[in-house]
Amino acid sequence: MISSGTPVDTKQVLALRRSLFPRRPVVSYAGTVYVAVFALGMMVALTWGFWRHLADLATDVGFTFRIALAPAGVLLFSLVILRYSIWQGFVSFSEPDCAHLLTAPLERAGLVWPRLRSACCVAGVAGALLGAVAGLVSSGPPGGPARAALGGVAGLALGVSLVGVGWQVQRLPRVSLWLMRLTAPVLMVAVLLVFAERAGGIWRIIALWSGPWGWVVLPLAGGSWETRVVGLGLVCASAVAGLIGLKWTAGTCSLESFRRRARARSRAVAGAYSFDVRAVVLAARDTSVATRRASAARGTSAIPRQTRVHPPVPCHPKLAVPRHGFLTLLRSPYRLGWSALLGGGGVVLLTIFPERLSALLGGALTLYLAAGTLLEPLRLEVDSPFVSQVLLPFTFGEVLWLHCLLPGVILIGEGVVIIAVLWVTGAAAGMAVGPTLALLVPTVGFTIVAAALSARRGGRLPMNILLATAGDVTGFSVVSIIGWIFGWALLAVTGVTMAWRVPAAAGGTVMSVLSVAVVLLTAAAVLRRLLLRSQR
Amino acid sequence: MVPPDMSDPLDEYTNGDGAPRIVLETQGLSRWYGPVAALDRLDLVMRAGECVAMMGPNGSGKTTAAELICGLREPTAGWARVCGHSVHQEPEAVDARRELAFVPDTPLLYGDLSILDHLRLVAAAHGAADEGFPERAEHLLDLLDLCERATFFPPQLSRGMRQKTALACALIRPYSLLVLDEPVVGLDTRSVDALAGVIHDVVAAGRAVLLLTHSDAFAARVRTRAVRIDEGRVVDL
Repeated sequence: MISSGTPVDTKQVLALRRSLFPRRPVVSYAGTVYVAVFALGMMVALTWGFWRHLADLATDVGFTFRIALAPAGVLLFSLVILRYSIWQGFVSFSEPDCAHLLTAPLERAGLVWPRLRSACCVAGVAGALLGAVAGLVSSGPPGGPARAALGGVAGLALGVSLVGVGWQVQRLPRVSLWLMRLTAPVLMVAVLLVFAERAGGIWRIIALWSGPWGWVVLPLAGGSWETRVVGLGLVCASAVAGLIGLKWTAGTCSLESFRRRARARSRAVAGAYSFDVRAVVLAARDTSVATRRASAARGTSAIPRQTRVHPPVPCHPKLAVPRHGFLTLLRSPYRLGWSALLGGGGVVLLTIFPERLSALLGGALTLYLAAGTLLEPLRLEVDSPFVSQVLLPFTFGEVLWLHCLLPGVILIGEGVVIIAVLWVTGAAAGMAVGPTLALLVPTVGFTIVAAALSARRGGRLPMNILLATAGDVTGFSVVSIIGWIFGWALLAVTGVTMAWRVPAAAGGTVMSVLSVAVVLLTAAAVLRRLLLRSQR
Repeated sequence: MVPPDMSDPLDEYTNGDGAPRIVLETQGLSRWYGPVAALDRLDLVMRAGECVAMMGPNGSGKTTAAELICGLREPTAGWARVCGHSVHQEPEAVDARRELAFVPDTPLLYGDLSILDHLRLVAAAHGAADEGFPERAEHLLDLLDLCERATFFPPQLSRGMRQKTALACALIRPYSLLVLDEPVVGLDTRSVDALAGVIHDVVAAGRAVLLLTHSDAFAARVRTRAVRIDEGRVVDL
């Protein structure tokens, strides 16, 4: 007879689970690795070539690497890892595992700890390798293997620490929620760290001692050997604290959290297999929303209240679409915040550093991202293209174009305010306000329409590209996929960068600005024609 | 009919004084999403030998209630105990899970495990992979009309068969409380009759069944009492 009190050995159950699943042939792993390495290699080569040939000189590239190895780079990398922990994290189970294993009378810690241990090993080894490479390529005392060893130990400790913190983000919805709220401030801190690093002196010392992101860099940042030892000791202590936290809390993550992640991963994997970026983004976003809800369920007021603002019904039917966009924006005001941050940052970069190509590229990219953030109502329209067919007397292209108006007005408004502030504070000394404003309007228009063209396709790859990838052994299909996904973004970034580069090179004359503005407006008009031709 | 060696003596399910013991107790069990109550203060006591049908329209909170009771969701307020063990407090929840069997409305199965392997894994995870397992598994598969497909994989099965596989996974292990969420969806008439028989046998064996459905006809066949909920609140106990 079965006794319901029979103790169950978790290890035996996991061993049985492993034995029941058929092992994949090595060839299938090799195929996956080949595709991954090839795609990654192509992307790195394209990005490198793009950067190397368009950046001013090797100094810009070197500057980028210095930032990556500085506290700001470590902070940004850590932020990416922790943001990943909000929707997935280091421990994940499949949906059937959640249904059959996690609901069994097994110690939760016994199921979770092996995965955490593996994550620590992988992150530690990866961190050690990266740290050792950073130690070898950077200069300063001590030289050679000792420097690589210092970097390796610091990287290992950073990897383990990130697993420790990431697990706490994963298991505690309230921590996840705070991480979401603090993302923008952390980005600003990273910018401050960059400035502090460049300022040198006491500011650099503050940046290095301000937190774990600086402690990791301390062993390689020069200075006395005491400083290096203390920095290494601090980051190792963080790793040990992270490990202790892992061991203590391994069994305390709720089943609800694992189920949410399992569902999100299923959706994201399905989207990734069909190269559907939109599906992957939506899976991650829904998990974030679910995290907010889970936090709200624990008493944190995380769900935004329904807006009570009811703008008047427009007198002209064409205004119905911007009104819908306005209401959508009210329901998710964080989009406005992000667009202000990204759009404002983009305008600052374009305006203050027109002579630096890397700054122009960064400014154009952030402006494009701001436009993409505000174009969410258009994406929703593309997700359900037949809603507007029933409700609105416009063609699909017209609806999409009308969705561009409000983001355009918002971005231009933000840009005007930023330029005015820069002019009043004298931060952009020597900048001519009139030409800059004249260039801003076509720049925003061009960027918005390019972002709209990118968004109108939805996420799925067209059938012809999918078919081309099926039997392709040349690797060209990878390029076509990357081009399909990032094509409009590349066009927008390149176009805006070149447009702002020309007047800067010509000394900012009115004629050069007007010429570029006309070219940009013409390009935007051509893109608008393409947008208006969109079919459901 | 209940699998042969799961027919425990009723004594195990009494308090010693003849009164059936409490299998499930919830108090103030709530789940809120911001201002929206998915389940609002559910107070429910179930005893051994009962089949409680929880009924209500779509979106009334039945599935939320089941998932809270089974520990699949965390409550905003209140608590749930199964056989005296908290469902949401680890490591006490291990004992609660030992007494629980849940069949969700959507069967979640491993794509590359056969039906028999599913039963083997679930039995092992619940400490029921003893020498009597093959006999119990055969009996269950026979009962649910899955014998001929025991080595089939879920992608080779219809939705109804996958639902029955999930049911078999729940019944192969020891439990005191069986929670069934919309179990008749996707089942043919013969399978519905078999399920009704299973529920009768489970109840007769001194276990409890919590049945969530909006099929009044099926609930009327098997229930010993009913709870109606609407918009997250119990409207009729």
